[in-house]
Amino acid sequence: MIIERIKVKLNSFLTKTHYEQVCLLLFAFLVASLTKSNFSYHFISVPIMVIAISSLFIEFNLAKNKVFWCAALLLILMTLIEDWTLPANHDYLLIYFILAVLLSSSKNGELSDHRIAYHTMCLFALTFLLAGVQKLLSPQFMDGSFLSFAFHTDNFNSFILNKIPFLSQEFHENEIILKELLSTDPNLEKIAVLGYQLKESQLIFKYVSWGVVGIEFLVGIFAFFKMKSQLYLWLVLFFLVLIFFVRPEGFICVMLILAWPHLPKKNSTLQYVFLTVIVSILSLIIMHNAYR
Amino acid sequence: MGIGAKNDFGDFIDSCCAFSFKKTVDIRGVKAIGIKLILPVLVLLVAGHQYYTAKNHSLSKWKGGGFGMYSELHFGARDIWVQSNSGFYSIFSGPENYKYRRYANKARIHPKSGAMNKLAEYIKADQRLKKIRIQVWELVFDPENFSLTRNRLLDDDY
Repeated sequence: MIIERIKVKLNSFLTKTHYEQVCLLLFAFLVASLTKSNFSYHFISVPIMVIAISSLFIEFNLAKNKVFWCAALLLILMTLIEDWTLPANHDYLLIYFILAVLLSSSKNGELSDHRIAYHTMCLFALTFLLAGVQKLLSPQFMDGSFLSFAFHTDNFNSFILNKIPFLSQEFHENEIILKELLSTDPNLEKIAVLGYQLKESQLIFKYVSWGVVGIEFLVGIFAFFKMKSQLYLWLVLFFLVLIFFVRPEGFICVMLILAWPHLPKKNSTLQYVFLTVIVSILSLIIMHNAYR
Repeated sequence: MGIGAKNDFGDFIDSCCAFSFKKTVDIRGVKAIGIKLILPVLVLLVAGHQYYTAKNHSLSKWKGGGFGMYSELHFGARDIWVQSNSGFYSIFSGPENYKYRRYANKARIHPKSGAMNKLAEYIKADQRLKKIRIQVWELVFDPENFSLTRNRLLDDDY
């Protein structure tokens, strides 16, 4: 009985246009994300926030409420105006996404869906391609040193590896070695060696790094041609969830929302799985178990 | 309502583009291309600028809109050391230096910029100094022998 009711409610969401669904999902992400952001210029940002919230009382249909999207855009833009080097790269992605929502708006639902599909496809593909290019041009990434360092100093193991007591202790000892090095005068040119070492791992990390770049390029290139392919969307979901388990970052949720308008309306399984993952990540962000 | 409806934000942008090009070229084709290119061009311009600044002015790839997160060590692996009357110390150590964190964080993200001058001015004003020396160091990891060293990014008097 309850499951049937949930299904009916979910269907009312799934029968909306893709544009309306994207607006709702992005709104949920913005609520989770912006409430954890720091805003300066309070004499401007507070009134903008007042306008954004007030606009929801007047027009709760987010697909029609341009005041809210403009206010959200202004809020994030203000952090860039204050200092463009401080906001994280995914804050820029949010700006592009809100711009995409505004550029896609139309009284005609079909046209909105068409536009949002195009803009999200571009953003999705460019994000992966540019991330691949940045890594490819970074010697530190391509020789495996970045992944090796992240692994050995517990930067990447939030969900799985550091739950193992032995590894947790080893990672902790490496962190102490790192802190000791950082506390000494760098002009002395001291060299520290990590205590816990995954032996013969240099080649593994090097090949994993190449693999990551290869996958990012493939995901980015195929997005231009195969964004609506169910196999592609399942693989993207698997890849993104895998990344999230390695490093629980909120931008994974943004990438899933970018992929949302390309989900086939007839495949409710894929929609349910995407929705479950998106909602789970949002919950983890709100509960401070994932980065915003 | 047909696909050509013109009464929303996206439609408004469409109309504006159409108006701009009205008398010169094929309106529909240009406006359609214009609307489609706005976002990709913006993304590529910002990413290009970020990559240039990172390569030539030591901006951390984690910041600035270039999608370079996880392509190099986090900017937390950069440290700022200050030489002043009170000695040579890391700006990120000790509670007495906490007040400099805001400026110091900006400066280590983008060392070769005005942020470093602001940090230096703030420290000098706070400690009533005429001159200080600032060094920025970044961590270097060698995956072959698991060793950690540091590389100097900047060394200047202010």
